[in-house]
Amino acid sequence: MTFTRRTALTALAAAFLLAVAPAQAQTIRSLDITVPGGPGSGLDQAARGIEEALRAEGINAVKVNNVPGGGGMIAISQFVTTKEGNRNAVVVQGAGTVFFPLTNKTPVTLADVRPLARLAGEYEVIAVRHDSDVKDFKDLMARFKANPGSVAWGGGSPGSTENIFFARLAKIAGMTPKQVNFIPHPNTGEVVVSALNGQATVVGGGLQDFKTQIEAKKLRLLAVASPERLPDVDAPTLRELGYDVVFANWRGVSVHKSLDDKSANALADLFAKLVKSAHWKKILNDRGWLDLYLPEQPYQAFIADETRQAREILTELGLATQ
Amino acid sequence: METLTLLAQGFAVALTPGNLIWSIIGVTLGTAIGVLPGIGPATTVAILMPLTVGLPPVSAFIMFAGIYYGAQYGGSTTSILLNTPGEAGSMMTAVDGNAMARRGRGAQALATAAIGSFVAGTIGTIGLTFAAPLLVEIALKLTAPDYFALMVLSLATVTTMLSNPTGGGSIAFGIASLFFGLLLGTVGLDPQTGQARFAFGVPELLDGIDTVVVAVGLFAIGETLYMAATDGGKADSMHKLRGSFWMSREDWSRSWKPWLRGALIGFPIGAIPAGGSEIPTVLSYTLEKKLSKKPEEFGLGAIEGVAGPEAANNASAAGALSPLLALGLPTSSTAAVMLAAFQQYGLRPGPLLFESNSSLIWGLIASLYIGNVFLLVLNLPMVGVWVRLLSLPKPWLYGGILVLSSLGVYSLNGNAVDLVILWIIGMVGFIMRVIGVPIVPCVLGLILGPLIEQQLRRSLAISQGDWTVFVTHPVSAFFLLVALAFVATPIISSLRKPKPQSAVGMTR
Repeated sequence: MTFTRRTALTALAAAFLLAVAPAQAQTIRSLDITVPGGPGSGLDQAARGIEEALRAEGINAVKVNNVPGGGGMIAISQFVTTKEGNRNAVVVQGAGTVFFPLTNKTPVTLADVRPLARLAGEYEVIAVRHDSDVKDFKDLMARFKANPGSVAWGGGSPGSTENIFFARLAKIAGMTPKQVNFIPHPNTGEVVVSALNGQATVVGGGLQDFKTQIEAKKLRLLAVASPERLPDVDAPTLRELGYDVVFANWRGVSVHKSLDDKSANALADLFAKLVKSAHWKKILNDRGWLDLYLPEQPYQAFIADETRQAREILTELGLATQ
Repeated sequence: METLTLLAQGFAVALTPGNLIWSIIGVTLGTAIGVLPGIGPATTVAILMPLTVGLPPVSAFIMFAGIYYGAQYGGSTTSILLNTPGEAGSMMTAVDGNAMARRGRGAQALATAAIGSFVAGTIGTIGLTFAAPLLVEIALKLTAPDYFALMVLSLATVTTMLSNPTGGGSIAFGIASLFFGLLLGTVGLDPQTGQARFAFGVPELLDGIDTVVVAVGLFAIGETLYMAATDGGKADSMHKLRGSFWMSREDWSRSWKPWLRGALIGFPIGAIPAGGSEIPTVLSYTLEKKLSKKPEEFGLGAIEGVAGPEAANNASAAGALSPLLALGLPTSSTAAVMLAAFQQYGLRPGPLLFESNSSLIWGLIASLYIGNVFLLVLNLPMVGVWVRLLSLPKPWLYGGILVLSSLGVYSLNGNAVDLVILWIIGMVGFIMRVIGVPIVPCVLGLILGPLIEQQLRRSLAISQGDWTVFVTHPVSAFFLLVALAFVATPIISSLRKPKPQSAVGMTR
């Protein structure tokens, strides 16, 4: 009963919007951002950053709606059912949103929305405790090859960016993903703790997660997974070391699939303009994010590529469901 | 000495009229969101963050810190008055706090909670001022086996809560309740492999069953249904307010030690990453019951059972700021939001920030002391207002509790599946109440089960399956020994007692 009533109301609202919309189709005056994660999570920070930058551009009616749970799929599913035809609604997503449906059967995936733009992110880095007897990345891989179980690789949750990242390193090293002794953690704070007290031989994550400890000489970087060396970072890229892995924890936005190209483009233009704004650049700088902007087509191709690679790795790990 | 000078400079920053106003706004807002179950300080700070861009960082952080501390104060109010714990840390407060309210001593329960929060909050803040870097340094040495052992110890203390305080039922019921909680704790993603367990294809179950949902279901819904079913027809007020609102001499003498002990347990455990607020409150409650001259009163309205856990909860909140300020490590959702707020200003908390931006850090720490005073001043007079809630006619109060609990649980994650779980658990709680099964072991099983599992499996993954790590790590071995003593002592003493009796039986 309620469902049909809600559907009817949505349809009515959509019809109403369609009726009045043509007069002001091109300008976006408000934005409704759905976040698949709780306050303080990575995706939440991205959404709050978008909100802040839009406010600086004079768009004040920005609403951020946190929908945690289900590996982000509850938010996607809510977005799909409630934002049909909504030209002012976007949902944020990241690498985790792509990976999760691969390890768990979920009623929706990122394929149920229309990815619009990749915005920002951080390349993965690998760090050890400052006084660790692991000398450098080559030494780490030598130890791993000699006795795989003895290297404890610390990272985020199972099936997370780090889990897949480490597995790819193992493959390139001629080992199998299953040989990686991955130690999952519920948050980045605990990853750092595991590195500092030595229970993890090596940890992975965003540079920003480790920067304070690196500056305080408590952690030491072994390598970064960026295509070129990062500015002001004294660590080689994995490519230089002969491991062709580029891995980023990225964030992007999608719109509802029901939108016509005109409405979707209006939102795409908004984000294209946003990423060039001075305030957005300041936000990126303050939070240590990199500008990883990709417009709609390349972004969708990128997601397809990420999905394919992750599925391959997760299948080898025995974690993939489909 | 240097710390005192820096702290004095911090007070100079925090005591400016502008910053005092931000502190008052923060603590008032914090108390309000603490009273409402569901919305927590993390969400509130996240919502306010983009709006504070124009503020100087120190003012924004003074307000955020006020919200954080305020929410800890407010959390006890609904636990005591309505048996509706809004967060896991105020669950133990509900047990005896609500029992006190039912015996007409709600005002004293609220007062001991407020003063205890002030005392423990201040002790915690002193700890944060002088001991944070040292404590965090020590806490960092704890590894997975140590955490595992600490959690096993907490689980062992649950054995003291297995019997039903209101009488009826047996220890077997307590154990059944504990295992039901442990079972609920296995729902969700496997912490080591990320595979779903007992989710039955419901995405909302993938994150497990929220502790608050179960606590509110068992405490508020189950209990209210039971009360309504047994005497709901009468329209008189639920709890008669008796005598003075103020704490008696006896209340004071029974409260002050639990406050101090609670603070001493809460602060260090709060400061260790993944320490949380649940374990210190449970340990404090058990300790007070063990030390009390009247352990039989626990569960029926012992003031120590409110004073200790409430103090532990507030001190752990101060402790949880230590890893954030000392090392820049976010170890709770509120700390994660605060870290994001620092980053909004291009700041990174940690040892370097103490040097590069000392007026901000010390202003923030000074504001915690001031905020605590404001909170006491704000909350004590409110006690008289709050307890009037209890003089509402029963049907109104029962209806109000059911609506408020449902609203609070819905606002946790904004999804209706939580409501379904709440009401199923509520019905289970009702049945448990009718047949005399204690509910506290169930909630503790749910909290501790997943933590124990994660640390056990992490320990074994790192040791590559070597179980001896639990006894070769000294801290771990110590905790496990204490836990063993906890479980073994009552068994041994009960084995000793019946022997002479059976001997007598033999001769007959």
